[in-house]
Amino acid sequence: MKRARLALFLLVLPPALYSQTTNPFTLYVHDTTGVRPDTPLATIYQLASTAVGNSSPTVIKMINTSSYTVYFGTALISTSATSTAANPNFSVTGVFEDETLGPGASVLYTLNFTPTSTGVVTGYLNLLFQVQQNGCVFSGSTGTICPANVLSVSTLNGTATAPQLTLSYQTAAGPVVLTPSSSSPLNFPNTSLSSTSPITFTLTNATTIATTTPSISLPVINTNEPSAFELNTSGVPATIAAGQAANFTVTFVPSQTGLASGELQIGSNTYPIQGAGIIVATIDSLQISYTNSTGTRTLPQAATPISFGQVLPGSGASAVLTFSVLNPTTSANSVTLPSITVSGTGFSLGGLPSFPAVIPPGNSLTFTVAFTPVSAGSFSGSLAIGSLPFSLNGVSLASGVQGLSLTTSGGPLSSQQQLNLTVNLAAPSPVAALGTLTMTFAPSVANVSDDAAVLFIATSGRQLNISLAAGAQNATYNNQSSIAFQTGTTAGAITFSVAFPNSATYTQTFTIPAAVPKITSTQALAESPNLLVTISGYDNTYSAGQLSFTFYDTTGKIIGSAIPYNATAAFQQLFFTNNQDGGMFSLQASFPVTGGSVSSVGSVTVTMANSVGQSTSSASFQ
Amino acid sequence: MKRSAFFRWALLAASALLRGQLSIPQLGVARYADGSVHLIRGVAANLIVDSRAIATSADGVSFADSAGLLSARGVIRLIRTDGSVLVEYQSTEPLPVLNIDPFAQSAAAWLPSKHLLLRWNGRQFVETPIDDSSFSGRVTFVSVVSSKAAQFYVARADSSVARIAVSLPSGNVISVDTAPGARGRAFMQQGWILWQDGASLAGERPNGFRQTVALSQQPLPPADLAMERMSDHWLHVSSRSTGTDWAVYLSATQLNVFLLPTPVAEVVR
Repeated sequence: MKRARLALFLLVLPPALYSQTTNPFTLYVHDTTGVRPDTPLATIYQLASTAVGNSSPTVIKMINTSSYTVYFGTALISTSATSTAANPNFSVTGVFEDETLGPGASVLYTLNFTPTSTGVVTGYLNLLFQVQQNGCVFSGSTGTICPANVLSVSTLNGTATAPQLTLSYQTAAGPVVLTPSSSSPLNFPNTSLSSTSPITFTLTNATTIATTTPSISLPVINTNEPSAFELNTSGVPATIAAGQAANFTVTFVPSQTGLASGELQIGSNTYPIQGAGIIVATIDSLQISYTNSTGTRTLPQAATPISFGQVLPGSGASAVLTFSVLNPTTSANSVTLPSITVSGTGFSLGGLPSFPAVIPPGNSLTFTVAFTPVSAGSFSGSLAIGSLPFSLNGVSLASGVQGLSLTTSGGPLSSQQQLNLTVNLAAPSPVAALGTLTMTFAPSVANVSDDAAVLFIATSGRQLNISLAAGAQNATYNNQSSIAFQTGTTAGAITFSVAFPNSATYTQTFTIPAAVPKITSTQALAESPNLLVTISGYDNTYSAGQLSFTFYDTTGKIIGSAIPYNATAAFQQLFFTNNQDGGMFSLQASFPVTGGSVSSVGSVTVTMANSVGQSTSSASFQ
Repeated sequence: MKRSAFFRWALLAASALLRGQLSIPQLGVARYADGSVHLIRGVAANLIVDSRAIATSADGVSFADSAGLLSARGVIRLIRTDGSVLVEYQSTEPLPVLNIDPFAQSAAAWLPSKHLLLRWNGRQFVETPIDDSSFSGRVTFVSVVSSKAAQFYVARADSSVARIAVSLPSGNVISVDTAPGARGRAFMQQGWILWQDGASLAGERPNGFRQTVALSQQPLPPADLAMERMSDHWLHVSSRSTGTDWAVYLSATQLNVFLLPTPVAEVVR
């Protein structure tokens, strides 16, 4: 809000103010590594020559060297000394907006030279600020508002050189140079699901020196949406000589109809790409899905291998995926599938129909593909459903995760604890693996099925996806090896199970013994004519009921004798009627006083018993 | 003997009340990073988050044992802990500073964009324009200490904390001093002044007793911790960078910190 107000004031500033304002700041060019001392920012500052498309930063340290408190609105680089229009060849980052700087206070920010075209470029560093002097105020509904100032403090000159690397592709009209982070994605032609569309890209080194080829990739944007694009950089050298170019290919390989999007990453530059998969033949209309242990996957793409996961070699064990081929049309036309084939070591087909297989509208056929490796390693294969191609892969591990154990912080378990669980391996894991950590709770109290407070704190649930890195001796959840959980308020046993692929499930049980009632808080309140006693706590046996209250006067002498009360029925109703919250309770007892003053009662002691024993708690009346 | 007979009579009355006064303990109300607001049941180290949300898009809450303030989309509501609304006020304030203390007429909200202190007088919300021209920083905490005065904590640019008393009848500043020791976005509850100290929560009593509780093994960014009242004695502390939530019990002598479970169980795919 303050910044908006400052900008509003700028609209009514007289032009002469640019030259009349006293500068409260001293600016230095700052070396964040501390190797070089700060040097004053010259009124005309020469920036490093920078290629178009690149950026050169200059860190500024700005000190309030005046004797007044200054409200620093922002810094910007404009197109002229008397303008606040942003210069597109520059940016300012790291400004802590709306900063109030006392005398001697300083801030750091960065001036970025980001030329958009070659040649000499000039920008003007302007500061927006208010100075608190003569009793003025920065904001508010009363008082005189301090005048807002804009001051040009330095002229920034830089030379923009030709871009070092340009990315282009060929069209019938000639080469087209692509702009990074464009809001208009590069469109691949509409492509049949049984066809592909490659585009050859050219990375050109327009400079006079050789340059290292930046990384080229198609990053995964959404792991649930396999990429419909393939990248081939086999012809790209590690270094592109001066004036030379390197070619690589991105191929659009749709397996589903509709728009597919992606990104081409060249070094730090991102180029959005997209293409549409279309149906041009009846076989293209078939919808393929497959089912694995985690559910049904409906969008397999030819460009992204279908994973069979991890299987032990030579054990005869297989990973089997069930495929479904659906003719989704509602017309009377059937689709005829001439064949289904698979290739690749370790992959085999099962449950095939007779060919040619006719799939009527709305019908489907199913078959299986099994991955049965005979040796350790990574395997790939291919599956062809008619003319629809898919790639397959699977991993065969020499061994699974072994030597598991569990430890908890804090010694033997008891009720009402928050502890950390650690999943340990006896030796560094030979493989990376994803697994699950599950906890179950078995109450030892008759007619009690659960306690909702027994949970993993990170999710309030009882199952977590854990991961194990190759070489690690602890599994982690969210990169943490200590996994926090609660023990609840019910006697019983917590069993943790750890399951990794191709490994026997490891379980370990921790017993929570029955205990005497635990009173966690006691409050005593004298509200004439009543005495109110409130206790909170838990009974992990669900057998509490016998209470007694002993009152003392303000000198500590007992008043009469302890007063017993059997609240068993009330506790049984609390614990066993629609209760999943364990043995917690909050009890408030009211004692009307008619024969004297409540102020004469100083304290109370509450004793509570269950099937294990009893506990006592005291409180003074407030 | 006379007294004993009196108390035995009194117990008979108490026994009739006891059955209706036995319940699952309610610890307070917490707002999570996704804006959902949930009732928390339990005792220390045994916390259960009610799966039903009192609100789903709140941008600030402050709760006492019996009632609280909730701000969502420019509307401030005084509500009970079951979510039922007692009264509401159209503030249009995106980020008000809310507070409610154990006594009934302490509900207050600072509306920085309007320079207004909003407070509940037991019948309606009352607006008091405040001269905040000398605050020189961001208000991080506000409390109505009496019918005539309110107290603000302001985070100054040098990270020190200004403690500013304001007259409620006039809206003028009565006094300004520096809260010793406190840094950054200070908060107050049950006599403790609380602030983030690196990766720890620091608290100081009026008698100078200070306690620092480590919350994270990893460094936390400055101004990473947010604090909101859950109830009279419980404070919700959350880390913006790690997404971790804590419930802090404030007794007269100690800060006790527990992890606060998240409201939604993970769906394992």
